[in-house]
Formats: sequence, C-alpha cells, structure tokens
Amino acid sequence: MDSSLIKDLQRILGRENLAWGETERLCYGYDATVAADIVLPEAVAFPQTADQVAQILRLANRVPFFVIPRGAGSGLTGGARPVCGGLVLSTERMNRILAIDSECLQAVVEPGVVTEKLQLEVEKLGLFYAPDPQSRAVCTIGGNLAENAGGPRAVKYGVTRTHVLAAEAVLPQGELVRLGARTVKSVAGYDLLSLLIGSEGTLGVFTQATLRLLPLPRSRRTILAAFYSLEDCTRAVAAVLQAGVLPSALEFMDRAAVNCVEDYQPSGLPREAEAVLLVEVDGSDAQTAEDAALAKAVLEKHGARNLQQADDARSSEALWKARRAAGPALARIAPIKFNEDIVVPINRLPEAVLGIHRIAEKYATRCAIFGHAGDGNLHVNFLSPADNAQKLADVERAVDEMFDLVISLEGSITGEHGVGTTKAKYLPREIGLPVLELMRRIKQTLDPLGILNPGKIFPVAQGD
Amino acid sequence: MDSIREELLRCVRCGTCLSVCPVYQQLQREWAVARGRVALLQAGEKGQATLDRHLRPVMTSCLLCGKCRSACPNQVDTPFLVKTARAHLTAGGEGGANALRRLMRSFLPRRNFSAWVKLARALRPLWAASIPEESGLYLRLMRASGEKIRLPRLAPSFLDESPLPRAPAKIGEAKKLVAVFPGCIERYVRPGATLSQIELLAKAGYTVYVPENLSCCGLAAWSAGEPELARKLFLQNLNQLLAPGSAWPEHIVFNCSSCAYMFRHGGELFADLPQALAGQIAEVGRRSCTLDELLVQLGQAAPAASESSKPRIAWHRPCHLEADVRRPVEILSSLPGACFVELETSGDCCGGGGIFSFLYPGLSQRIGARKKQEALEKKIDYLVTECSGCMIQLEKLFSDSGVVVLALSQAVEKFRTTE
Repeated sequence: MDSSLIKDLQRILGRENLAWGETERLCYGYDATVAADIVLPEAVAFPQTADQVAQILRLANRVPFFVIPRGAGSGLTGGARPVCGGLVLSTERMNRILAIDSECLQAVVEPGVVTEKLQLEVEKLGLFYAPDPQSRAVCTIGGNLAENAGGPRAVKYGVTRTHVLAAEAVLPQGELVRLGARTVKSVAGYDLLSLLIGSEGTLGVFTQATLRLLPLPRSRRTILAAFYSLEDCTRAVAAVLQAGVLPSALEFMDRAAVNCVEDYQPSGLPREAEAVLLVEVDGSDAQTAEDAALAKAVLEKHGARNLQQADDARSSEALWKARRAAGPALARIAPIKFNEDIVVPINRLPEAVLGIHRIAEKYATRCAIFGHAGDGNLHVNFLSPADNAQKLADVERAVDEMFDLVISLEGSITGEHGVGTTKAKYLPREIGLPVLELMRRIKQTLDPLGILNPGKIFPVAQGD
Repeated sequence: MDSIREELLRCVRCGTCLSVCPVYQQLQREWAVARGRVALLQAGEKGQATLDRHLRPVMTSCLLCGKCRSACPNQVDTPFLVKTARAHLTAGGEGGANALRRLMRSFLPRRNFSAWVKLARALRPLWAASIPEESGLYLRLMRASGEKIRLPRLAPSFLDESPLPRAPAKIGEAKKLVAVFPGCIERYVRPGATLSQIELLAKAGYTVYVPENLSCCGLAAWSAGEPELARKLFLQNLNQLLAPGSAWPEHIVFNCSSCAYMFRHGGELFADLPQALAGQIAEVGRRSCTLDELLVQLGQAAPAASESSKPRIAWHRPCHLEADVRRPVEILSSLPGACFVELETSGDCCGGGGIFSFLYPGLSQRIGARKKQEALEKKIDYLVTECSGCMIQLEKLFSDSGVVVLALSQAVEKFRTTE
C-alpha cells in the first residue's frame, strides 16, 4: 500500500486505528486454522463505526484493494486469513453491547462483542443467548454471524441464524443496509439476512446485530453414558430424540478421543468403552428430572453402562470439562488434519462413524472422533506425524474418501466451521456445479470487483 | 534454543489467551497477547522478523502474570518465552536505547545491596518524590503516557534493624524449623509484614529464623531480561538456605508469592546442571511455600457472621500464588475480628507486573480499575494480599481512597481476635 492510500485510510479511521508496521501485519495474517503458510496483510484497520467500515469499502472499490473482515481470529477454515495481501478489517474495537431489552427479549450488539461476554451479561437479567460455539470465550458475534456458528446446544436451539432477528451490514461496495426486522416473524421480501449469515465475510461486513434472547433455563442435568459397541452408541442418539426427549446437548466421543482426554487430563472417563455420550437436558426442574429419567432408560435399553448423572452445576461442569478437553487433548498430539467438521442426518450416524473408522484402518492412520452427535455434527481427527510425507498423502486420501462417504449419506462437508480456504476444493462435490455457479453469480452481483474476502468458499480454478 | 522452538510450536493459535490476558483486554491488539507474541517470536526465529526496536514494546508490555499459560490448552509457557526474549533484547541493546537495562541498573542490587539501600535512604526525600518529567530516566521509560512514576516510600526503619531470630546454634535439634525469606519490599518498605509473619509462625509452634546474607530473590532481574544476574542471586540464596553440611529448614516461608515463585521456578534459568545442583534446586523449590500454606493448619475459628460493625476485608489473589487458591480465603473468612467480603475480581491481575507498572503506569492503573471499582462499591476497609509487588500496585491504585492494603500476615495478626 502506498503512502497516499495509507493517508486516505488514516483520514477515515484516525491515525491510531490503522496499523501497517511489520509487527502488526505479522499478527493479523493468521487465525486458528492449522496451516503452514501465512500471507501477511498489507495493513490492519480497526474501525469503530459502521460509517468507517462503509468508507473503507468505498475506497477499496475505487483504488482497488482487498478487504478481509476479521473477528477474533478463532476460525478453523481460514476465513479471516488474507490469501493475497489486502487490508484486514478487524472488528475488535466495535465491542459495545448497545441494548439488552428484557421486555422484547432482544439484545443489540456491535460485531466485536465476545459471545461469552454477551451470555454472561444477559444471564444477569435471567435471559439466555443460546448459541455456544466451543470458542465462545474468544469468538465474537460478528464472526459467529459470518460463519453461522453452531455448538453443542444447536440440537435443541439451532445455530446462530436462528437467533438473529436483524442485522446492519456494509455490502462489498460500501452500502450500509439493515436486513431483517425486530420481530420473530417477518417475510417482507427475500430473506437476505439469511444470505449474509454464513457468507464467511464474502458478501458483507456485519456492523450491528439484533439477537433473540430466551428465558434462562432454570435447571440443567447432565448424563454420561458409556457404550461397549460403537453401533449401539450411535443408534442411541436418534433413539433419545425419538423417545420424546429434546436434549440441550448430546455429545459423542469415541474410544480414541476418550483416551486422548484421559492422557491429557484424567477425568474419570471409561478408557475401555468403545464410545461415550454426554446428554444434557434443560428446562424447569420437573421437566429436566422427567427428561433425564426418560433419556437414561432409552440409553440403557440401547446398551449404555455405568450411567453417571449430574444434577447441579458443579458436578455437571466436571462431566463437561472432560468433553471440552477433547479438542485441546487432540491438538496437543499435533495431528496434521485437525478437526474436520462433518455432519450427517442422525439416523446415518452409525454408518458414518463405522465408515470413517474403516477408512482410517485402510490408510493405517489413527483416528479420533468427537462432536455434537445430537445434530449429526462430528469432528473427525486423523492423527498422523507431521513429518512423514507418505503418511501425509495417506491422510489427504482418507479425508477425501470421508467426504465422499459423508455426501453419500446425504450429509455435509462442514457443519459449523465453514468452507473458507481449507474446504473450497471439496465444495463442488457436495453442492454441484449449477449451485456453485449460482453462488458465483450472487457474489459477482454484490461484489463485482471481488473486493471482499477473496479466495474463500470458491475453489481456485485448476492451473491457478 | 531447541526448547524455545518446541515451546513456540506448541501454540496452535486457538486464541484462548485472548479471553484471559489483562493487557490484551485493554489494548485489543494481537501483539499484546500470548498468541501474537508467540507468532512474532516464531517469525523472529524463522528470520522473518528481527528482534529489533519494534519488538521491544511487544515484549515489555507483558505482565508475566501467567494467566495465558493457565488457560492455554497446550500450556504454552509464554511468560518464559517473553523473559527469554527480554534477555535477548537487553543483551542486544545499544547504548542509551535500552530502557529495560537502565531500569535494572537503577533499581536492582549489583554487588552490595545494603550500600545501595544506605544511599537510597540518604536520598529518601528525593526518592519519595516523583521523578521529574524532564529526567532522562522518565523520558526513556514513559514512551506514550504523560504520567508520573510513583515509587514506594521507604520504611522509617528497615527490617534488618529489628531484632530478628537467627539460626539456632544447634540447628539439628530444633523442632519444626522454618526459614523466613523476606523479599526486598519487606526489608525496605514493609518490614511489618515479615515481623507479623515471624510472630504467627512462632505462635503456630514453628522454630523460626531469618537466614543472614540473603539477596533479592532475582525474579525482577529475570523478568527484566537479566538472567545472568537472576542466576547469581538465586544461587546465592540457595547456598544460604540449603548450605551443604548443615541442617536444612523444613520449609522456606514467603510473604511474597513472587519470591516464592522464583524459588519454585528458578531451575528454569539453567540449561544444563550438575546433578548435585539440580537436586539442591529441586529441594529448595519443594521446601518453599507461601505463608497461607502453613497458616491453614492453625485451625482458626468458624467463619464470623457478617456483622456490619467489623472492618470489611477482602482478598486479592496474586497471579504468582501457586498454592490452593481457596486457602487464603478460608483463612481470612475465619478471622473473628473482621467481616470477609468476596470480590468477583479477586483473581484479576492488579496490573502491577513488577517493572510493568513503572514502564506503563497508565495502562497498569487501567488494568486494576475494575478491581478498584468493586472494592469501593463493596465498601472494603482492608484489601489483603500475599505479594509485595501487588501491594505496591494496590497502594498506588487505592491511594486516593480509604482502602488500606495489608499483607496476609498483617491481616491475620490484626484480626485474629475481636477487639
């Protein structure tokens, strides 16, 4: 970026809200994606108002230069990483909770608000913001909207989209628009809000969101169940829902994941079990007591052993701690393909889990699976030493076959992490070329110069 | 360097540190949090960036509070990496450009600490005043802010001038022998904390002594990128406390969590050690404990009811306190002479961070602001802690309010009975 462009950006942002030194550029080239190559941005902007964001995008179209929106940089598919220079637009400084409306059960927030911070604030008022991505202590609402983030509670409460009533966003050419309405219902025209949510920062930058809140559930109970057959365990998932229990979380860990957790942080999980399920129910005290009893009966009928139940926050936390340790425990042993994120209809879970284990066996790679089984979303980790080229190629092939399997089971190659750069090459396989072309046309219409978050979602053409 | 490289590679960029870093939460820039600092050190290690003047603020603006290390899924030891980077910065620093080195030279003992203190006392009227804005030291230290440095006021009479219990002649026969280690702040600023500590331990049935010829623990030197000096001080103390051929104290008891931290982690300063010395270092670490760890065995009275007439006391947990974090709370809430009040911000960093508060006084006060607000809202009379660095910072933080800062030893001594 030349000095006149830097001056223009400084005029928009104020001197202190633009950084272009090497130190800052080195710190805004990465996110939480496991990837070897880091491409540095040319500068980093820290806007504080929607108007500044709009001015930056108008300038970007005039000059032109690329703009890469970034929340907390906790994404796992490279969504916030520059791939060809440009300006990283960080929403870190737009971090105010503007209103919490207890009457209408709504919150109005800026994009840089950390998800957990919002949750803690609304809980003080007896309210509840349900979406709970595992990175909620770090990730921001803007990033959650851009990625349409999920989390364990999605099985009952749905993903981020379900909880966004309205949003303000700057479109790629710099128009500031408001989408949606402050009501639960609204069918006025195309649902453009849904188009922008989950567009991974390629169609707009969120500058404000009106979020739907719920009454805070009064009671929670958690059950840990061990299974000695993978098939029994995965069948039990659909059975719990069929029996009329809608859990607020239904989590799965296979034997390899359990053992990784126990090696990392002994939590009393049964190492010899083939898999475990963690079932949480929430609601009124009477409701959760009834649901927990029903869920336990169903789990036992499907072969669960050693059931443990936690009826208060402290003992429940102990059970959850083990589940939450799965990610870090696996990251520690440095797998090369960390945390793939697939999703299948829940009645296909047995085929998916057994199939993935077979693929791992075929390529002689270790594999650990955990995830949000209640909504069919699994995180698959092929564990392999990073220094072995042959193994690396094998893991690539295993991932490839896994995606074929998932698609054949009518599932999806990403449940909550997004496509970003790391899954772009697999996207056409799932959605087909006509739909991919439709998406390209939408992108082309809104962003003719391809300014906003280039290199994401769409596969790079062969030979590029 | 291999261990450094491995440590750097353990960071998977998940960003968990963003949620706990007190400095990041104020500055909201990636370079001010562990993930960014590690990324920069990695880039430096690969030769993509140089440890030049741009990296200096990155490395000096860390509190070394260790909150990132505790929260990190992979326990990346960023404080250790920052200390190592600081050592490189001080080693490579040229002429007058190096604020850290100058700070060290000005404030820390080189050879003869007591001579330095005598000089300081002679100059006490000057010392107690703020450093004038025109001074070179001020200009070098205060990059961005226009605030004045406030230094702690020296005590009218130093610890060494009080009669102290020394090692018993027949050391082998002493029952429950414990050595008390007074840190620099206790010796020259707050001798009362150590005197109360000696008193309490004696009442608890310990044979207490203060070894002679102790030095500064060395943590400040290590933090400021002077590992050579830190090693020297650490070994000096080691030899005084665990002298070969004499009986060793069962415990070495600290009023200051940071000094205790140094004694437990000093071994990290040494790459290769002869086996005998390694054993001695492990031994000194094993025997080191903060006062609360022994006090809990005193068996205090049952918790007092919250009577409004009693003084209201609260607890500030030092980042360097490694013992069971509930112990001090149990001790304080069992004191009959006071009414203990829980603070939500009890475990938040006070913003002191040793020399951090001298380099970045404004930022350091902002980090402590939430704690101050809560303590004032809850009408706290006494804020109790167990770290001399925190005490200095808390006194600065609360200087314009009526809140009195006490060492744990002083609080227990003061409130152990109803008056």
